[in-house]
This record gives sequence, structure tokens and C-alpha cells, in this order.
Amino acid sequence: MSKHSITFVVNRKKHTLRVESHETLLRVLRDRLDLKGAKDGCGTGDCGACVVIVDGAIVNACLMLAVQARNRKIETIEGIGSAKKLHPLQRAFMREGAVQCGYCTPAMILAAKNLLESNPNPSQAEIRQAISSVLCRCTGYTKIIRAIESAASEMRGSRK
Amino acid sequence: MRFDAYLPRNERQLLLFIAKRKSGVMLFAGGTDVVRAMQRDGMKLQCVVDISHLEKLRHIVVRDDIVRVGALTRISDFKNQNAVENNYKALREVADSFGGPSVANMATVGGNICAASSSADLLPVLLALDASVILRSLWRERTAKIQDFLLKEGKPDLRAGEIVAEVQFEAPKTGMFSEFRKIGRRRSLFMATVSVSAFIDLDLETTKVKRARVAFNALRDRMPGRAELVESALVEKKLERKVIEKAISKLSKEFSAPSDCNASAEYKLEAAKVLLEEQLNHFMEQARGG
Repeated sequence: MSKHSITFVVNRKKHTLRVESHETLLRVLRDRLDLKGAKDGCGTGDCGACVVIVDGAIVNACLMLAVQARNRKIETIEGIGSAKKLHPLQRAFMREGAVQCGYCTPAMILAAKNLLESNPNPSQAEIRQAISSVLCRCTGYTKIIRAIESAASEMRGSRK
Repeated sequence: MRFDAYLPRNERQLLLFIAKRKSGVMLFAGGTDVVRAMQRDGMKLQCVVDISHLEKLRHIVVRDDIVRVGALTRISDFKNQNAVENNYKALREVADSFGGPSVANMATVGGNICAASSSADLLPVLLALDASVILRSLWRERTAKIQDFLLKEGKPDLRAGEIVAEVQFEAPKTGMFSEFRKIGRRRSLFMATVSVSAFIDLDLETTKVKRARVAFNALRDRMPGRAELVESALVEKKLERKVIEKAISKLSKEFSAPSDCNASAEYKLEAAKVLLEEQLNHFMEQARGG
């Protein structure tokens, strides 16, 4: 099986590595770069637990080959906040109780972040649409939507 | 899931490669169908050709009154096309209801066409727009009407060494509208149980229908197709209540999508009528300046 040398940027850091043809971006993020935030759920693009941001758009990392990530900029949950300095979305998810088992949370937060970058004041319908790639079987979505609204409001406030 | 990957630098390299390798090669763009087929259905591949980076095949441009959509245009690219979408809302409606946003960001127009399936949301829209598919190989370029290109379920008329390069359809002008609606078993992330797309070309002064095309995701079998009896019941008539009712009544004569695990044949016919009626009523409102 052939190998390819790829260079890509993950969370503002440049990486060059050799990947196998059939490795998915998800496998490389989790197993090679030790970024365990993106989750391996269904492996077929249905559950959305593996959602990451590639060049400003959310994608399912389980459907993307690692070779397709060459020369691209990738953002994962590890890049948007740290334990010391949480992103407003991360704080809002905690505040509103939007995290239960946590499996979908990284993907939910990335989908929400991606939405708020282009639409800082989304309607509830727009939030529902934006996170519809990601399944959550715990919360019933209510608290997740509330958390995104709360973070959006906080982020708008801090921009003034 | 194990295979080799080939990464052509441009379209010519791609065409050269697939001309030489006659079998065991799968083009890989969005991956939304190919990975599923490998992971879920156990499809085995020797080699995939990654074409996702061939940006020259990703465009939506209007030239000589023709909308030209590159095969590697992502479904979500239709969300930012004001020039086209003001009239052809169908394209945006497909983008908004296509899988989830992450899948719409990956899935491509070419991939959706080559799926040749009743769950490929673009197909009823392209049938209603009477689109053409531009196919290129190392040796030649040919054009096929979309309905001729869809041979049967899962089987597009893609010949050895050929790729889908572009889809083309008439650019919208005043009085031309196209919409898309679908219904499934959930509110999001669903495959269409029934979907319909209608195109209509109206004389806005008289509200007379000049041209009408109506397509469903599954008409007689599990393949997308056009409802020609409905179409002819609309043409040359004023778009008004009675005409719409009559046109919809024709649907029972030509719509016979079979029962399956999603819905019964009776349900599908009823849903098809309702979705079509909504769309035609909406056209009527627009014709009256609503």
C-alpha cells in the first residue's frame, strides 16, 4: 500500500507526516497527532461525532482521507480553548448543562463556532440547522441550543 | 478499508490514469458515498483516485445564458449563488436539506449525479431544469441529457475512461422558477421518501405557463423521472387553482413509486400530490406578485 507525505496545519501548527492511502483524517488526528477530541462514532458520516473544521467549513473527518487534508488548515476542539482559557462556547456548554456523556460535545462546539463566525446572531432555526450534522442522544438538544444562544450573546457583547 | 491512492495534479493526469487502468479504480471526491460503501457494505477497492483538490472542476458560472456547474462543486456551494438562486430556489433548497451541513460541504455535484439513485436530491432538480451532463475522456467530450445519463439505479451512462466534468442548464430569466421539496421519516438528516422539483416558465402578464417540467425522485420505479402528463396539463394554461388541481389529478396515472421500508405506495402518491401542489401554489402566488 502506498504512502504519501503530507503537510497540513492543525490548530495553527504545521505538521508533515507520511500517511497511508487508506487512512482517514480522523485516524491521523486521533492516532498520530493524539488529538482525541474528534470521536469515532459510526464511521459512515451519519453521527457527526468526528466533525472538525477544514478551511473554514465543517466536515466529517471519518469520510475524509488524510491525503485529502494536504495543504489544508484544520481546527479541532483542542485548538479552540484550553482548560485555563475556555472558549465562550465551552463555558456556555458547562453553564447551561449542555454536556452529558460528552461524546458529541467537541463536534457540537465546532459546528456552533463555525456558525457564529459567519452569523453572530443566529435564530434558533439557524442553530438547529447548523448542528444538524451532529447527533446527541443525551440532551434532547434543548440545552445545547440554549448554550449556543448564550455564547452567541456573550460573544456579541464582547465585540462591542 | 485498505487501498492505494493516486493523486492526479490536474484533469489531464486524471484522464490519462483512468484511461490506462480499466478496472478497480474509484474516483474519490467528497467520500460521502464511497466510504459508506466500503465501511457499511464491504465494497473492496484496489485504488482510489483523489480528485477533491481539482479546483478547476469546481465552479458555478453563467455564460451565454447557460449555468455551468463543475462536477466538483460542493452541494453547499449552492448556498452562495444569488444570481442563480433568486429564480432557481431549488438549488438552495437542495443544499439546505442535503444530509447535514458537514455532508453538504463534502458531497459533490458529480458524485450525486453518478449515484443515479432516488436518494440523490439533485437529480429531480436537474431533470426539471432539463440539464445536460458534459462527459470527458482522453479521447473526446460528449454531452448527454440527464435523463439519458441515468440508465438505471446505481448505473449512470459513464463509459470507460470518462469523467463527469460539468452540468449545464438554461440560466434563469424573468418568469422562470424552480423549486424543490422533500419529505422523509425525520426532520433532518433524512433520505427523501418522496421529493419533487418543478420548473416553470411563466408569462408574468397573463400568468400563462409557457413551459413546465416536473420531476420526482422516484416516479415509476426507484429511479428519478419526469411526470409528463402533469407537465402537459400545465402548458399553455393560466396558472390558477383549477388548472393546478387538474394537473395534480394526472399524477395518479403516471406516479407508481413502489412500497418500501420507508412508506407504502399509497402514502408516496399522496405525499407527491401534496408536495407538488404546494410548489405550484407557490409559483401561482409569485406569478401574482405575491
